[in-house]
Amino acid sequence: MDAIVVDNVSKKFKIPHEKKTTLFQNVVGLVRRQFAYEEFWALKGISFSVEQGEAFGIIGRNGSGKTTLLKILANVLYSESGSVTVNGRVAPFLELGVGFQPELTAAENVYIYCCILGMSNKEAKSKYDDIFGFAELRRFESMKLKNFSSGMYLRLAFSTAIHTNPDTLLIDEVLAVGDEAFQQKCRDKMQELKGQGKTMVFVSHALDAVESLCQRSLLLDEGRIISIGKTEEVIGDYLEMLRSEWPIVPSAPTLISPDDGATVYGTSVNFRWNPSDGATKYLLVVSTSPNFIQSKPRIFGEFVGNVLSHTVIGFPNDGTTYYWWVWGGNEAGITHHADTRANGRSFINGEAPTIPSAPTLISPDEGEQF
Amino acid sequence: MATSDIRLRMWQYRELVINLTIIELKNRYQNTALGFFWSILGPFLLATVLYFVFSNIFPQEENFAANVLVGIMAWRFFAAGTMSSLYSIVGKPSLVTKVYIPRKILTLSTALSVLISSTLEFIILLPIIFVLTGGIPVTILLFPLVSLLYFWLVYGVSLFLSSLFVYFRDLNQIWDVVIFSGFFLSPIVYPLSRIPDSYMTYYLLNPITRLIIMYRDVMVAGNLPSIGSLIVVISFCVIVFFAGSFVFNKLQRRFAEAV
Repeated sequence: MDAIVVDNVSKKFKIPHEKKTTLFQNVVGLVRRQFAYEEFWALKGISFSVEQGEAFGIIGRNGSGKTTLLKILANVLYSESGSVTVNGRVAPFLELGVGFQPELTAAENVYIYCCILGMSNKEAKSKYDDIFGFAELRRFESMKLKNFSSGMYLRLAFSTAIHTNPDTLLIDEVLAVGDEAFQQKCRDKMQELKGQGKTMVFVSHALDAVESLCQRSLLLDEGRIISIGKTEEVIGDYLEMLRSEWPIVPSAPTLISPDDGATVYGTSVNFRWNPSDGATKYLLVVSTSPNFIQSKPRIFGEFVGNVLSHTVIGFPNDGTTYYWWVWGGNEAGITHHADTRANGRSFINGEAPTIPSAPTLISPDEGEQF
Repeated sequence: MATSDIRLRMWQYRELVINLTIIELKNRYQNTALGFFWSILGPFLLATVLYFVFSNIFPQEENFAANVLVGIMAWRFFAAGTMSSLYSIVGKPSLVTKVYIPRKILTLSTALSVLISSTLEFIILLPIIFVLTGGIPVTILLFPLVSLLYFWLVYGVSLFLSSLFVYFRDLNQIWDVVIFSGFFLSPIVYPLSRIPDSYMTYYLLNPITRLIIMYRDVMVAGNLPSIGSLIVVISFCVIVFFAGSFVFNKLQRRFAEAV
């Protein structure tokens, strides 16, 4: 049975040349005859269906229409044409903690959040213990939310949202928030929910996360479906699409890989690189072969702006030698300059992290006064 | 989407409406019992000042003090209800852009919270009326009916205002002026008898005037509201409510893009 059916959906945004937000500006605009606007098709003719119990990924670059599509599925945005059918109770994870009130206590907020996600007070009461248990916030249930740290806030919100027992989950990059332990917990919970036969639509830039969670995926670009099918193949198409755009840049920004670039912390690997001239974004690529063309490289992230480090969590701890590159790019695309290719640095994963020296207590005498 | 479908969903979300109304009240009174008393201190002071000023201008009016109090409380319902409704959509962007709930719930819960505040304020007024006039008439039993009619009107106007405010952010300033002039265009601080007969027909077109008279009838004078007034007010409520719903439904499709 299909849980989600999207049939020929298009979404158009009108972007006026002069943004008018007040009645006064509208009247002035009317007098001056300023009606000009740009049409922007965020989505064009999108059709696909997701089966009951399937995890479905949506990938694509920034601005390709992924979030717009997810918002249409969540019934937050209306589509210009076409039809969308989503069966069962939907939990939209477009943002965690929707409707949280800082002035109210954690317990009150949990009830409200449950209610917003379509649960009755009775259902919320029966899940109450599980929610606080999973969030590990039992002690703080009567504390006002404004006194929560951002980590506690997220744990409470995530825990509430997944306990609403939804049939379908719409997830938009929520895993990109919180500390590493929280992210790992989120991923584990996602896998668990998948095992319970929940339908999931997962939008992310983290291709490895999409690959591990979703059987089928959809690649969007400029509001159109580029490919749809098995996740590995769709990710392959995405990489191919990015690769085909690389030669546009005439000269490569030079990248310097520092010797101590990759640091392994158990199952987490930290990558650092130096800035390159003219680059407005960086692409982190990891492969098992020093020649990336021969191997199947995995893109671990595309970073827009002056991002100079990245930590991959849950990297396979298998003692293999990996090679990594960072490519620089700008509006025109990403460089695949030969020099940059040869710059691949290796690291062996699975080595125990070396701790320089044991931490010593500064004044042990004071400790006894405790 | 069919209208019956929307109404069904609103019913499914009744607990959310109640919860949101409670939040609204808690935030308004900062979670304290004293918060409520602070909030009614203002209107009582205003009533006292206006009473001393206008009782010299209209010395022979019967129950003038009680009538001023009832008039101010009734006006407050409309003014507070519509002013806070302006922000009912815009003030909760995450509930509009990040999750789907019928958006009317947001406006409805704001209007309901004002109804509850207003009812509490009128209850506080009862002992004062008792002291000022020496009794509470039995027609007070019709108070819920008048308040419900009034609520219906406030909700209808709120639907207009909350949805239009999303697109026209200077509406609050315009509405301030409307509220300010409305205060003096309704018989709150002066008796109805002072309006010249030639203007009376137009003057009574204001449904708030008729509602204020109804409140005074049932709370102070002990008269039944006139059938004519009821018909006018009910038809006003129906028209405003359906027109407001129509505008709201049209405009809410793009709320998530404009909030």
